Amino acid sequence: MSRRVPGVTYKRIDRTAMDALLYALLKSLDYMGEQRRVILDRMGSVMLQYLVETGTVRSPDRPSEFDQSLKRLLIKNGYSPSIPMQSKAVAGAPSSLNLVEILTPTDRHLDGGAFPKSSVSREKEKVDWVLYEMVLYGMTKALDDQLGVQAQLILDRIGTGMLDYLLELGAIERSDDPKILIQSVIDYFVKAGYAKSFQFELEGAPPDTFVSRYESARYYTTVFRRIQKEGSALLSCPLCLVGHSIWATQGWKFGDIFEVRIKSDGKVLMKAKVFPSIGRFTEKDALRFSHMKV
Amino acid sequence: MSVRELIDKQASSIEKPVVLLRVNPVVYQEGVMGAMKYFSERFGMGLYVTLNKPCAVLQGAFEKDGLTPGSLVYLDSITNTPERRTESCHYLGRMRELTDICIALANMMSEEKEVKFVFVDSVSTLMIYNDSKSVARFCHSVIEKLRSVSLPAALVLVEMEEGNDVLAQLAQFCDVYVKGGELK
Repeated sequence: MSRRVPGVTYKRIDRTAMDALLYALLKSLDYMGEQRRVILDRMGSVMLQYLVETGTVRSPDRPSEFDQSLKRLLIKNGYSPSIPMQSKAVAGAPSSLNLVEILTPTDRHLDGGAFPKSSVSREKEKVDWVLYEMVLYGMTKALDDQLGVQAQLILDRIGTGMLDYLLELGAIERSDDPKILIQSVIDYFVKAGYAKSFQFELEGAPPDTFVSRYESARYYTTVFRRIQKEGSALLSCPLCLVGHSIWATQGWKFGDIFEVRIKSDGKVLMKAKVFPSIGRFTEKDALRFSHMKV
Repeated sequence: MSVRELIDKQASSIEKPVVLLRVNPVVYQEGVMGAMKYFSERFGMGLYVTLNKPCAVLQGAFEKDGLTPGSLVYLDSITNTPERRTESCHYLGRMRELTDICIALANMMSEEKEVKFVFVDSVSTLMIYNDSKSVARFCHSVIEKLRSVSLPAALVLVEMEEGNDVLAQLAQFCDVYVKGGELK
């Protein structure tokens, strides 16, 4: 299956994609109650650090310039110009919101977790890609530092949350047929400006390898490459996470990514293990282990 | 109460306790460190089954926190490397099958005679790639094996919705269930 849209620029992405990510991120941590804030603050700090390191905003060593550049970025992208508290450069500022909360759709703040039924798709509104990758990098890095690879469970839950959000908004059409639903997800992300194209195929008989091919996939050239260099095994590609949640309903799980080729123009080839989710350690396996001498 | 104190309170009267430790994500690292110190100080040399963070990362963290260097051997199924053995670690390769982990664990328990306890970090990681029934069966098998050679152990589980099924089953196999990590 494939989808191509010529002439897509990848400096901006649909705001709906950003909203879905933020909504799902907050929802995935809801179960932690008040302790959620600790994780969100860590994510917020890494996000700000990412903006500084990529030269998107000025260094906090120059507080007023940092303040101004961050405000400009937020205003340009249609967000409230509140400055997050965790920045030492702005200590004492009136806002007590975390950067994640500042960017999250307003109705999410108000309803405390309920679905944004009153929301409308904001596909025509765009945000800078750097903000989207800032959220992806910040959440992935903070989760990896805190929890290691088991944080993939939280990321997978974020995938389910994004799907729910996009379905509820009508950005993705509902279907009981997983193939149709997956194609709708691919179409949505390509149209939103996530990648120029995406194709996948299953290899093996029975299938045991999932092969993904992207063109102009900015997530991989920036976020994924960086977190891999930093030793993380986490995958936070939003299209993958949403896809995984659909495949999971069909009894499939995704395993280790054992081959990745990323070119600087954003062409990506990725191979991951895929297998049925049940029966991975049977009675027979248990019996064999119990007979092993120690 | 710290995780270490909580374990001590419930496990000190048991000679070879098998502890199920469930920690809040916010204090996961502190919880693991506290539990490790308890087991290390009480029993001595340990076998650390790491499924979640590479052995090299853990070694650095433990050393920094004052755990005696050389007091652990590792079975590592997270570092992205071909299977190989060093003095202190058996690298199994990233995210191997549960049966492969079982075999490697049995071999290490057999070879490393000085090992006095086993620490599994973490059961939650297994949930990424396996169904809860398989994970529970795997953990049950490991616990049975440990009991057969009278080795105490700790199994770590991070507080997440995904582990609830496994938690209910594992709690029955373990001597002690400790829920740790309320934010101070």
